[in-house]
Amino acid sequence: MTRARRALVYGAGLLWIAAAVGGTAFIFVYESQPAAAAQVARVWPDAVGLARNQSGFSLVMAVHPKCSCTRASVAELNKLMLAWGGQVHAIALVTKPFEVTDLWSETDVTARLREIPGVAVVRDLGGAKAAAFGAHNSGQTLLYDSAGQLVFEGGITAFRGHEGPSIGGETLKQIVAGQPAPQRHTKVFGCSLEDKFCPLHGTSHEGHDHGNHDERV
Amino acid sequence: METMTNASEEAERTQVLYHEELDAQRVRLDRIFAKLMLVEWAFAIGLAIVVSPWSWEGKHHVVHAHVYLAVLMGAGLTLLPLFLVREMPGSVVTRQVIAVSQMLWSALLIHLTGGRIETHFHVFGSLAWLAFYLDWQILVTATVVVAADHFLRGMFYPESVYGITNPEWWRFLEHAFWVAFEDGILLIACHNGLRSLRDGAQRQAQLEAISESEQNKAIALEMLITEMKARPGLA
Repeated sequence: MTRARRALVYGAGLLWIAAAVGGTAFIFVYESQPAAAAQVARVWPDAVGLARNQSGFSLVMAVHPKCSCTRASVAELNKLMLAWGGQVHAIALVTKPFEVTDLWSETDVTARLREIPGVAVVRDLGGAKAAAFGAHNSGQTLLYDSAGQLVFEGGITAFRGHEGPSIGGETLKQIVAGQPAPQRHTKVFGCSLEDKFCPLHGTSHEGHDHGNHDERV
Repeated sequence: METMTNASEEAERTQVLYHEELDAQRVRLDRIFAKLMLVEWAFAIGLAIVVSPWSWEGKHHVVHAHVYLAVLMGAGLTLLPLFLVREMPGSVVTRQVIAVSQMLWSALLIHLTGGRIETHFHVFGSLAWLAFYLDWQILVTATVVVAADHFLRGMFYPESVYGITNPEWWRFLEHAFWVAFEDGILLIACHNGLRSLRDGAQRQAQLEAISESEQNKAIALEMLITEMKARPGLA
């Protein structure tokens, strides 16, 4: 083997080791890196104008319609809602920045949410409602009891964008079934609902109406 | 004495034919894996672009980490096997590297498809493909890669594998068991495959020996006839 070919073998070898070790480590870190912990509303915020279930549990999920990781959260929500069979009222807050058209939020994620029985899909202009609940990342799920007290907050996937059993999903099942749940908070992995250029809920201009927009879609 | 020499030559010839056929099969398989990895690389990039092209912050987006991962990790996993298949086809190193790369392809594709249970079948399909090398060491290498991935994930982030935070320490063995279950079948298939190759080589060697013997007899007969024709009194 010539010197040039040997150098190529070593180069490809190093790249291979980097891919095998570095790539695997990156996948692991990326999958398990949660969003920053949120200060969520401990009591149902009546000011947002959303009706809660007075006789049972109410679930709220914040959704970024274009976040690919959220597909897994929606799939897990579907499983939970089917298992609960109408016991829980769920509201999906699909965020939509002010400057974009409604079509922007019409994605496969939104379409899938509409197919889930018992889920009310609400277009959340500027992410104002999600912010009122203290949700800043897509997939953030909150469960309130009939008195409007928070009983769970967090994500319902085990790690970023992956379907399957998770502590969040199991905890929600336990709470709704009236069983003791040792953990009331889990990690959230979805995309940020807030625009990095404007923390005021998805707009780069001030003066927008961030008030109540209960726009069921 | 002559019979023993013939038997020894036949055994030697059997070995030569056996290794020729085995090497040819392994080289063919190396080339198939080289093409497969190119297909996997293209598939991974396409998948990332279609399923998760962007990462979002409000209405702003940047290229999703999956796209970079598919391009860069895919390149790393593919280029060395391609190079080795070109430079050292049929070698132990080439197929060991292919085995590790193929199992890491499983991990990458599982990740890119959001952990879909269906994509986990890639692991089992890959093991079956690797079994065509008729080399039990390849299956061991591939299984160790899968088991190590599960063991390390189970140790550092068990929820990502088992959906619970405190699984029993031996839980990874349950997952590894199903891989070992397939390995058991494939090892038997490897053993049978090698035996078939050896039997084929032996038959070929015997046929060659018989053919050679018949040719020698024909030559001897021809010489005898020629000799007889050369003696006028015998004609």
